[in-house]
Amino acid sequence: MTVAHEKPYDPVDALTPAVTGEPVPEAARADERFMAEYAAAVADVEVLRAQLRIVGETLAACGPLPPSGQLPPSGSLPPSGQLPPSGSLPPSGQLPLSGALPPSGSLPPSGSLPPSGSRGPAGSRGPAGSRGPAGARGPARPSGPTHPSGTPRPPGAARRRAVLGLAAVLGAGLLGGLFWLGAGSSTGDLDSGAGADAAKGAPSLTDDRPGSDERPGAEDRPGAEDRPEGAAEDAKKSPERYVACARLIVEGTVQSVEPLPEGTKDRITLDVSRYHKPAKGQKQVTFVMDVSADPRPRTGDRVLIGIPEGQASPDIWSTGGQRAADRAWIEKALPRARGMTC
Amino acid sequence: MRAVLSLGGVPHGELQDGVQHVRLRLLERAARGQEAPREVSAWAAVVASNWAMDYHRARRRQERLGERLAALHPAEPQEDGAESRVLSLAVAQGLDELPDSQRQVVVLRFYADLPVRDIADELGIPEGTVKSRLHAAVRVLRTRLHEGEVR
Repeated sequence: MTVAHEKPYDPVDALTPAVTGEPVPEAARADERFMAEYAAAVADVEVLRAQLRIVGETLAACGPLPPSGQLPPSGSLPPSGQLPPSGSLPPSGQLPLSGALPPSGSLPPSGSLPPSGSRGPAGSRGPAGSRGPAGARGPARPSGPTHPSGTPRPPGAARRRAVLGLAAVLGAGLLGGLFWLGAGSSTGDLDSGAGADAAKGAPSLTDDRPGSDERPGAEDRPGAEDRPEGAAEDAKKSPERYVACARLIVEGTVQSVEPLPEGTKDRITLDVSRYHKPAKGQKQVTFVMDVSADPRPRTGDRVLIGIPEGQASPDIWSTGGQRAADRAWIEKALPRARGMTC
Repeated sequence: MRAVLSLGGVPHGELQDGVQHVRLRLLERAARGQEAPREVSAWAAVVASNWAMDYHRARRRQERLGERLAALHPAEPQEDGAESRVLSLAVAQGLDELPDSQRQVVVLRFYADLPVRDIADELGIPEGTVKSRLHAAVRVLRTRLHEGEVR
């Protein structure tokens, strides 16, 4: 591709490619100022996406304030933590598909919780939001062996704690926003099924992979034996579904880490070396991550990330040897995921 | 679909009417022997957003999202949610400021995740018009977001 065949870019308009999703012209890539503005625009667009989901789904679920002015108790999470498929048609009198809005007046699924079946960052350990690079720093971790079905399983207890920790951070931060915006009154609806289990915390992340009751180590995950849906719920959560419901799955190198003004998030720019989903895209992607992640990403880190639909931040952040393990199940899941709707 | 309608400013009490309208349109397509839309969710999002715009023209009234969100007060301050609350309110107020045509494309692009081409096809307008509306709308919304972040 020669620069001469490309239309010249407007050096002041870094917003258009961020908004339209069109590739940045080659000539613009050498313009550091343009690329910085473009990265900022991409990050803002991702925040806008996430907030639109929160606003839209909260208003769709919440009617007028209950007469008492009381809000539902905090901690009641939406069932299954999944976004309703946007625009999906409900059967008469009912609401959209799995994990969708409970009856009117109740909390919407936040859509911001990682989809069930997804795994949090590899190698993280310790408190919520921690993300340790697997094998890159500290003691080496075994890469996760996969179940014969191809379903990845966490390599050990540290990873499970990390997954739960990440889910707690994501859930707490986003739930806080949701509850302010107004949970509905019919919280009793959230106490059934997956909602009850989700309300116990974030075990649904690790509980919902298919065949979880059969795989070694399933008994170690909290709440797995308590879920009423059991195998039926497991069947809904799978590597294929994670991939189908992911907005972005890429590998690359951290190019920059920029603290945002409010001090709670970093803007991460990644030089992409490989696209899993979509099949191709920009040479750089930008997203936000909470600063409480420990350790914070560093320039030069080689990572694999997964960002679900409707989210601004990745719920998979793999480094070191874990990248190969995650790459394996993602690549295996991709063909079937293409035929799935989310 | 309810979220698309809500983002279009349709009051909560009217959402079910909007949903039923979209369902009816789909049934009508089937009754006429038309093929189902290639992407049902995308088609439904467009139909819903058009219904929201028609609703406002007919009623000459639009629910202000910012007011609705601001009215949902927590019983106690939720520190953890403060940042998200500010951003959500900023986005809602920004949407309130937008003309219907810009608001519609923002919702279709960034909530329903439709590509520009699909939005143009479904709305029957040029891609350049979609891009122009998106550009103008996002400039407003970014300003609102940054105001929300800096606070």
